[in-house]
Amino acid sequence: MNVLTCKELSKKYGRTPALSGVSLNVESGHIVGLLGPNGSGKTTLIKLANGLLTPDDGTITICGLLPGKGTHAQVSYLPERAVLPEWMSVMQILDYYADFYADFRRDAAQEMIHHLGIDMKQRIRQMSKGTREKVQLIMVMSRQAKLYLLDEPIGGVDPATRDYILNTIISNYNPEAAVVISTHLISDVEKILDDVIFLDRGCVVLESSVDEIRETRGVSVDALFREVFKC
Amino acid sequence: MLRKLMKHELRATGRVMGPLLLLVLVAAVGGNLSTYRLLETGNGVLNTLGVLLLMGYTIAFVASGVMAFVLMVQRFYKNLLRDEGYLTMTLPVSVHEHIWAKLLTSLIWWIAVLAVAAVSMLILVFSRNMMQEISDILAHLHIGDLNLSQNLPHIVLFCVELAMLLAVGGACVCLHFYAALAVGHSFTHHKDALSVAGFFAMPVAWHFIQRIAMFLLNLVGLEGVRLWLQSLQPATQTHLTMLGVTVVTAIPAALYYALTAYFLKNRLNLG
Repeated sequence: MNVLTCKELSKKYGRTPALSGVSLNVESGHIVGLLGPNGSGKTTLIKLANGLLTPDDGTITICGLLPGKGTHAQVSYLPERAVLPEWMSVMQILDYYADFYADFRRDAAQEMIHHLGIDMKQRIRQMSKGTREKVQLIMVMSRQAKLYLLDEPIGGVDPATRDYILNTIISNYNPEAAVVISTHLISDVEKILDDVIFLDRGCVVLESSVDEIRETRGVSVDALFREVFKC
Repeated sequence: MLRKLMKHELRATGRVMGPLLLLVLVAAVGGNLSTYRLLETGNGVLNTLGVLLLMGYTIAFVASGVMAFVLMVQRFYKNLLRDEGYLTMTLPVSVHEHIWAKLLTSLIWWIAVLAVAAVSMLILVFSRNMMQEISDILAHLHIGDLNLSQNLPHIVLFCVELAMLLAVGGACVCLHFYAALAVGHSFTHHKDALSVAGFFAMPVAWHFIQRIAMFLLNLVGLEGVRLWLQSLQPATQTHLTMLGVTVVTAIPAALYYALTAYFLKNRLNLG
């Protein structure tokens, strides 16, 4: 079943095209790498799926619905930046997610927070950058969503935190859901991906399964990425 | 969901407004002490302390009003259109619920500021003789001359109408800011500058629409309505005028609301 569908999707920032006629499908039960160099349109695509931007042309649907109130209940989104209000404590953030998302597993979130040794009364502004990102990821992955959109989840963190983040993703996502991970750090995520979509200058240049790349081309996704996006 | 949004909105704003309003009340007690004790001692140090306490009350009083206003703008801007918007605008709630939550929370704080201002002023002027002075005033007031039994319903109705007008006026001010921010942030570049430009352009456009509407109404006989109004009882005239002013204030408020909802729903452009 297609969870995310784009048809001839286009978006411009002023006169600069960010996405040009992108058509793709993401099926449930798959972990998909949305891969491309900086400025290739990965974040724009994810923002469009969340209704944070509006397309200039084409359509994007989630479980057959246009982005909006209905899809927000089904999508768990991790933005590429820190978005949790700094004045909030961990406990208040748990309340916030539990209030708005029926699929939020508070127990799972509390267990992960406890495992990290974070005080429930600690405020976001008192945390290091890495801890903030972990808390944000825990909140996102504690939902039983149909689609997880993770924008640069391992960008700008140390290798140990990267491992923690990837472990958190694979041990907590709903197996019937689709997970889209946008990144340019291919080698770190390659081991957990089922499919990849390569974006270049707002266009899809490759849509394939990871196994197919290895079998037919005899290279890793990381090696193929370096070959496709060679400067 | 509106109730939940408001709960978190009140929590976010209450951590600033709560202590500030409490400070106004405490400062009013200090101001009272200053007025009735410290400034009457003739001691230079105590006089200075008294002046400082009165200044403290004035600053807290003004700060509570300014902060309620700043929070109204800042919560919309920061919570919906900046980084926090990535969290807020992806909640499973409608754009209308977002706008109403922000609007009602702002109005609640404005009412709280007015209520605390009234209570703090009473605290400031409170003295042992105050109750006696009030009863003296009431004793010298010839209530019979006011024909209270006949005028009371009008006075009550007028107070209700005034409260409605203030609420609609307050909502109009909020929605004016919201609309300007929503329109300005729908652009890719210069979002803040365009928001400011929109803020000033919108009343100009409304004024232009009003002039056209008045011209058209005059053509269809507004003068007749004016004459009809003048033929009514003064109390009825007052009520109808209040109602008219409220409706005229509500029209731009509704337009600003529609603009805000349209741009947040169809032209959201979080950068």
